[in-house]
Amino acid sequence: MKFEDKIKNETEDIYILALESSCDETAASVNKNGLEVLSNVVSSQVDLHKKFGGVVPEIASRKHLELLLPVIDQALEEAGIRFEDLDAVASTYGPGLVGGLLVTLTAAKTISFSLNIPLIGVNHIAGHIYANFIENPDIEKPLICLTISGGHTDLLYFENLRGYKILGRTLDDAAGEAFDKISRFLELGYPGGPAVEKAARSGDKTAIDFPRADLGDSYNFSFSGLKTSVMNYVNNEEQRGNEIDKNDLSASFQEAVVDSLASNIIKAVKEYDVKSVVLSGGVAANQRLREVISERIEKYNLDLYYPKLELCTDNAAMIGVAAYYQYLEHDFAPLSISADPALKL
Amino acid sequence: MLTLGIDTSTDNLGLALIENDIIKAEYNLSLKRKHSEKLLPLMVDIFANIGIRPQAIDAAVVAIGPGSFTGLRIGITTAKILARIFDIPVKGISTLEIMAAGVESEYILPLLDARRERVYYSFYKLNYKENDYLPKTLLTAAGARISELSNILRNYKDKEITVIGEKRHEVIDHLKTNKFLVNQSAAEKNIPRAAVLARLGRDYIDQGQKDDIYELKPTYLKQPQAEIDWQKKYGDN
Amino acid sequence: MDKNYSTTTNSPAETIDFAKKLAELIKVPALILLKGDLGTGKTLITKAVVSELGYHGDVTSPTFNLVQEYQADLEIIHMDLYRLDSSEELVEIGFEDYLNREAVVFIEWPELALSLIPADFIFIDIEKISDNQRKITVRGEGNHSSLLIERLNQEC
Repeated sequence: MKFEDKIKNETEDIYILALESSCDETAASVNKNGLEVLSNVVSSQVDLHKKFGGVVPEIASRKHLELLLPVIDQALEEAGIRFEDLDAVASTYGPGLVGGLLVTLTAAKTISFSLNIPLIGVNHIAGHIYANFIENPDIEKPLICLTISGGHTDLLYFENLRGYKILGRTLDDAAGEAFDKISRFLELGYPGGPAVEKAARSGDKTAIDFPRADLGDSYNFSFSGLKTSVMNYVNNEEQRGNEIDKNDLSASFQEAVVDSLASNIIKAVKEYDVKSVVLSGGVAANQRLREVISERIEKYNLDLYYPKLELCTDNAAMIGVAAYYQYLEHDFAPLSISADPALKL
Repeated sequence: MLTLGIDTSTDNLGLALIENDIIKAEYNLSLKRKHSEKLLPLMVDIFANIGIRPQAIDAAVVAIGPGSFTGLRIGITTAKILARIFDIPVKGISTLEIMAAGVESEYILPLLDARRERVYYSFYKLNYKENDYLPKTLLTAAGARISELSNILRNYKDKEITVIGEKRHEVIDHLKTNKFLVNQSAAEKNIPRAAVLARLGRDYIDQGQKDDIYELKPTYLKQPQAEIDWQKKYGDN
Repeated sequence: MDKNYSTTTNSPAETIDFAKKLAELIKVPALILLKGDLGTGKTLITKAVVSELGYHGDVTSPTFNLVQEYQADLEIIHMDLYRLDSSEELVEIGFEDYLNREAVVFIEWPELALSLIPADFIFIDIEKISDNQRKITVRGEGNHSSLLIERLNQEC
């Protein structure tokens, strides 16, 4: 029997085993009907990479292979589920480190083959967005979601949870990347987001009026002009022999980024009749961003959601939730699917 | 006993199913960096072609290198998962041993290219005249510069050595120059063949030698020592 | 005296021009070591070569994760060993597998790798003369490097 003949619909219980190994966490989870997380096992390798100050691909891949079976065993056991009970298996297939991604992706393919159940390839970024829905299952739809990290800046519209439409994305640097670059330029430290935010807290956000990219009617973003303005400003001041106040500069830069992000959200809120706004990705942790957006959407009577810190870290439950909605859409992957380190939404 | 052999350690993607002494199917595909895309579709294909369901396999055998680390992890992950789901034994076999077990000679030197004038080698004795087809290891797998091999093999200068695998022509030249007795083998004996892998694994499992599925991992073989420490010439003065 | 190629560039743009010429002469597999103090332009050169080799994504200094892999028509590995303390650590990060690959490998801060590599590499030394001026010297070991140096000397 082909697996196509035993695909269930949403009135039936659907169990999905989800796996994730795109960075330095080896994770497995079992979800029932998407949002019901039966188990969520994360084995972190953070300590292993600490002495190198970053994630080392080969070390991460070796560890993923070692931890693979133990995390799967534990996820099944905690969920009280056997392999035979599974309706589908999912794995992240990008973006991330290829060597690591291939471990759980190959495992998921082999499970799909062995049990004759569908394979679902999940985009890691989509996983982070769906993480919000685990925490807030009653979130009202339709909704606008801004996903912002070191690699992405995307504005999405969700009619329901089965899929999304991309309204806009960055034309050059991602928001997190802009923070990193400015932090490096001002020698504030790494990671750049928290470093700039910290400096900005003691600065005057109106000190310097940096330009906001004017991209007309689109929902796109651009941060490279802003980055150049900051660098030019510093160079000019230095040439004049003026001392630079890094705090004022950080605050003014941050304000410009936050303003661009918030403006597009408001534009989308006006055009689409949404009930909620969701932030996801590493930059969603920025306090000023949360503050500005909640101020500006207040008059539209919308709810603002952002992830709690613990769900910001990589986990497999979020992959499983995204996979459930892909299952309902019959969005299955062929066994020839490969890892894509630079996968976009 | 139905044994599945999987080899993703080198450019050769090997996949074979043997039942007792019969080769049910064997694939050896020369592919570069496509193992992730090809392996599982080929498994579907191989099982469909001979009309066997995956749950029918009794053992999974996998090549554990030397080879590309990323490639190795693909095959090993697959073997681990199959063994876990179907509760069957798993056995990892050195890629060099698979090569050696595929020829009928007494002294065998299988080679894999380690690039830049270097190879991974291992040295085996095969008592094939006594119908024993499990190679005995005389020198364990390691990396070496081609120019070092005559010294490494100095105790076997009076033996006839069959040299197979990648870089064999360079190695044969080197050994001949150093007065070794060397043989070659037919073209098809120079790759790790999937059917040989499956047969070896089955023989080992028959003897009660299997691996722990939780411990199974690639041989992360070290590179040969560099001939010169370039520190003096290129380091800080 | 070994063969070498030496040039002085007067601006980052000229350094990029040098890198483009270099890129045309690189054959796979290649091991390219880049030595030079902070801010001399090691990443600038890597970036330009990588882009000539057909990878147009973001290339940043991998100081924080040591190794970055770029997939163009060919495989490109970009390492920065600044934060490593010993050659044992280098082995731990999978250095040897990278050398085995059919890839172009860039190594910034290569001092630690010098005890582990075979006689087949291109060594680029960048010295800061003034704010914008750089003296770039190409040396190396093996056929690939001597051919490349010969071609650089012919063309420039």
